[in-house]
Formats: sequence, structure tokens, C-alpha cells
Amino acid sequence: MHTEAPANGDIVVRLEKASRIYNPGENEVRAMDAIDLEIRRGEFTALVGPSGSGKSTLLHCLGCLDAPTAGRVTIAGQDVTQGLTAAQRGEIRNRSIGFIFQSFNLIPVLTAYENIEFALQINGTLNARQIRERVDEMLALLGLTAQRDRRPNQLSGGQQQRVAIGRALAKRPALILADEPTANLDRKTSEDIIALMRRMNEQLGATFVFSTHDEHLMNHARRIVRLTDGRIVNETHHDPAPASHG
Amino acid sequence: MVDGYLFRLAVRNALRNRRRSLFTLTSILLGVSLFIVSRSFVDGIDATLIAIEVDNESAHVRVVPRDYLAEEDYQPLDKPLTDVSALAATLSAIAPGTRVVDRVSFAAEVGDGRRILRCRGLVVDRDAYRAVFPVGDLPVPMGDEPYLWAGTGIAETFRWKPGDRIFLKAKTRRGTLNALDAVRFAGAIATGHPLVDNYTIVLPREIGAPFLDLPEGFATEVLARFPEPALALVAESRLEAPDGQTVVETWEERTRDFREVNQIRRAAFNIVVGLILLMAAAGVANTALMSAIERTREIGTLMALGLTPARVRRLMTIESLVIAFVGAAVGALIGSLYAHHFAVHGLHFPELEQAEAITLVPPVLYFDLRLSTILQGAAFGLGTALVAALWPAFRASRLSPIEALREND
Repeated sequence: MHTEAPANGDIVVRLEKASRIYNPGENEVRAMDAIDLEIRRGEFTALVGPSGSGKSTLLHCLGCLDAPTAGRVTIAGQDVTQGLTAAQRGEIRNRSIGFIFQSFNLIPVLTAYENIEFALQINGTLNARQIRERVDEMLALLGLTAQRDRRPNQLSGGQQQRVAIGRALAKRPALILADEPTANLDRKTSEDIIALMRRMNEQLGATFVFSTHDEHLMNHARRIVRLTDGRIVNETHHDPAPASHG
Repeated sequence: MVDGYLFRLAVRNALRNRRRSLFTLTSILLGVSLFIVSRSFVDGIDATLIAIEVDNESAHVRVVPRDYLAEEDYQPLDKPLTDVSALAATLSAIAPGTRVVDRVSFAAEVGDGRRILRCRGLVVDRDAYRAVFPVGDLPVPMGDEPYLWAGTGIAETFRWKPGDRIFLKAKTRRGTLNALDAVRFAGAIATGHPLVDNYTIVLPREIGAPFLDLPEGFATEVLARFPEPALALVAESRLEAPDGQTVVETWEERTRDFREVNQIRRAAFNIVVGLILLMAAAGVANTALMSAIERTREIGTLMALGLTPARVRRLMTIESLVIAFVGAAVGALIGSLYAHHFAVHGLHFPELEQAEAITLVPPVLYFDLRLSTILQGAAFGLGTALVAALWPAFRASRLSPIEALREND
């Protein structure tokens, strides 16, 4: 079921010979080793590999949470490799990146509605009415309208991750990064979540990059990037399994 | 400018650990309320003592000859003011409503035939004296017999009742002794001023002048009461003679000594309040620090969402200020209610009511609660919290998002 790589499309993120070395010297750890990677608009990409293969480090560099020690990273056309302040990195994340975490990481004192609203308020590009409309739209897309006023501890794991997806997507970022988004969910819920991400990818054109150990889930991706010891060892493009859930 | 969404999150975070927040809030509350109560107490002492001095003894200004001042304790009659009527006219012209009285102080002895008490005698025009000092009716007995009024302390010592005949002795202006052995006690003067109540007798001028052999217009002091206390400074500038022979004492100068003593009380209270606010600061810092540590991962999430370090600092600071604001507001309310109660009903010191000695604290003290005191107290509480919250907030904003997100993984 392999297909050709997309021939066109805007490049959202580009890594050029990007390396991330911890503890330079005798005990150095090469978490990322001269990685070249381009993520294009609308892609649905899985990063796969065993623990310690560099998936999380790569996601952190893609998400401007970390910077490579060598090479170059460009996000939405801006070189973010070095020399940026914490505030500037924060602004880039605010403007261009959405995150989905393994443990959901919702703000426990805010409701489902408010968690999504909060991301838009930080983003600061919409007015109050537009924010209301956008959050309502997201809750409807996620099937969470009935749970809008519940706090995270009143939601199931799957519902929490849906809210997290809504939070990441609401501001329409150039790139959405998901670090093992289904690791804390059961099989059925995991399928639902991946299917939801696929649906958002297709309906909204959102660009997703997610990491996973799960061979079954990675088959939902159009592009699979395999990492071992901080290097990309294999990259495949294929037609994913149908997004039947959600 | 505080972002509304940060404020909402800060308020909810402040309510997360209610017991810890309540402890911090209580320490701020205690500091603020104690500040207001103690400051109102000390201001009350100031206001009460100033009022007692102005209302009963020296008015807003007292004008005396310089050479009289040096020997005032002996109340000499050979160093009078010159041209009393001109002085009185100058004082009266300072502002409409100004009231002026001149008086003669002299050393006197009074007794009941068995006991004798040395005291201060005053010779005054009754109506002018009552116009300047709220000393009550000063009743005039029927008949032609000489009479006097005495402070309540003296009257109680001798158990005089109006109409009782008493003994009076004094040196006249010429230095000869004069005595009256059947002076009527006309009534007691109750002022709250220890010098007046315990050591002063007052003779009307028509009796005192012939008794002391005083000529027309003779006075050792001229006193004035103005519609506004600040006019005392105007009087001082107009009346201080170039030759320095006339001294104008304002009410501020007359009360300087006990106001300085009061500054010591104020400093002592400030130390206590400062210690409580220091405890509050430790509580605020501890609460903010614990909150930041417990929520490291959440702070990492906020940073990943795009919250800049400056906004993280703002969020953490607002959380502390929310707690401090509630503590300061409730503290200001409780402190104000408490101080207001004593401003209306007074704080009684029964042991001082019994005391015969001149004391610097009146037996009934009315607190002086001022808006500025309430605002200062609240500002101190909030300021303390703000300073205490800065470092924990700064520390939280310096977190690495990756490290923070790994917390508790």
C-alpha cells in the first residue's frame, strides 16, 4: 500500500542535519543525529521507534521546546535554531504549534470549554465573540458539547484527550505535535483518538506529527518516519487505514 | 494591565489548596488589622491629648513675655505683657470667629482650715474664658462674697460643695501676702486636663484683680482659639516681636513633648506589625513556592501552549495577590470596625481615672480612625505579598518547558 511522497505543499517544518547532543564529551548522548526532515502542510506523520530512539527529542525540536546543538530548524519559515529568548520561543509556540500530550495535561481548574478557550486567549488573535464561536465549533467537532462544563476529573481519559486535541487545534496552528497521544488509553479509545486526529487532518487540513510505539496505530499515518539511535532509518508513505471512528 | 484569563486562572489556583491559602490569608489579615488598630490607637492618643491641651489649657496660641517664660514655674506677677489690648486685637484680626482671652497666672494656696494645697491660680474674664475653653457654666453664686472655681481634683480632695467657704492665700503683684478666709466655692471645673483639674483654681477678674492688686489691662498671658488650627502659624509670624521679647507658642509646640513620646509608641507598634507582616511574607512566599513546585508540569504545559515567561510570572504573582487582597480587605474591615468601636465608645483605663498624678495617657482614650490609615494598612499587606511573591514567580518563569513537562512522568 505504499504511495509516492507528496510532490508539493508548503513546508511547515524543516530540519537540516539537526543534532541534539546531551552531555557533550565522554558521556555524551546523541538523542538526535544529523536528521534531515521536512513536514509539509496537511501531512499526517507518525514518528515510530523504540524507547530512546529520539522521537520525543525530535518532537521537542519540532515544537520549539528545545533547540538542536547542531544543524538548523525552520518553523513556518523562521529559523529557530539558536539565539531566541524563552519569550520568543513561547511566541512561536503560541503562534504556530499545538501540543497533545500523553497524559492530556489539561488545566484541572478549568472546564472543557475553558481549557480550549484558554489556548485561544493566550493566542490573542481572536476577539471574545470569535473565541466563543471557535470553542463551540471545536466542542461540536469533538462531540463534547454535552461535557463542556465538566472539569478534567469529571471526564474519561478519551474525553480528556479529545479536549486536548481541541485545545491544540482551536488556534489553527501550522503544526500539531502529539507525543504518544494514546499511551494512556485503552485500545478502543486509542483507535477513536487517532481516528479523530485523522478526521481533523482531513476536515481542517491540520498538519499532525505524532509519536507512537503502537504498530496498529501507526498504520493510520500517511507517512511513517522510523527512528533508531537518533537517526531516521526508514521513511514510508502509504494510504492509511480508513478513519472509521469518531 | 492584567489579562482577564490569567486573573480567572489565578483565582481558581488560589482556591486549590484552601487550607494553605487560608493560613496565608490569615497572616495578612492579622498584620493589616493590627496595623489599623494600633495606628488608630496611637493617633487617638495624639488627637486626644492635643484636644485636651487646646480645649482646656493653651488654646491654639499662647502669647507670653520671654522673660516670664523662663520663670513660669513660679508664676511671677512682675513680668506682665505690655499692651494686652493691642495683642488681642491683632489676634482677633487673623480670622473671623477667633476668640481671645487674657489671663493672669499666680501662685496660690487654698485650704479648708485644716489642710492647705499649693496650686495655680488664674484670673480671667469669665465670659472670655468660657468663649475660648469649653469649661461649662462656671456658675456665679448669689451675694457679694468673693468666689472661685476649682478643678474637680481639688474639689474632690477637699470634698467641697458649691457654697462652701474656703481659704485663699497668694502674693500680690507688689509682693505682699494677701489672704481671704471666706471665699465661696462656686463650682468644679472638669476638663480632663490634669493640670487644670488637679492644680488650678480660677477667679473672675473682678475678684482676682483687687485681691492681687492688678491694674487695668494687666495679664501674663494672652490665648487665642482660631477657626482652623493651622492659623496658629499665621499668629506666630505676625506676633513674634523683632526684639524677641514676646514669645508665641503654638499648640504644636505645646504638644511636641508628648507627641514625641507617642512616636516611641508608634515605633513599638510598627515593630510588632512588621514582625507579623514578615510572618505573612514568609507564608506568601511559601504558598507561592509550594504551588509552583506542585504545579511544575502544569506550568510546563502553559509554556508549551505559548504562555511567555513574563505571563507565567504575572500568573504566579496574581495568585499571591488574590490571597493577599482578600486578607488585606478582610483585615482592613475587621481592623476598621474594631478601631471604629473605640473611636465612638472610647477605651477606658480605670486605673488612670483613679490616678492623681499627671499622666501622658488620658483615662478615656478615643481612637482616631482615618481613611489614610485604612488605605496604608491595606497597601502594606498587598505590598508585603507582592514582594514575597516575586522570587517564587520569577523561579517558576525560569523553568525549562521540557524539564517541567517531564515532572512526575
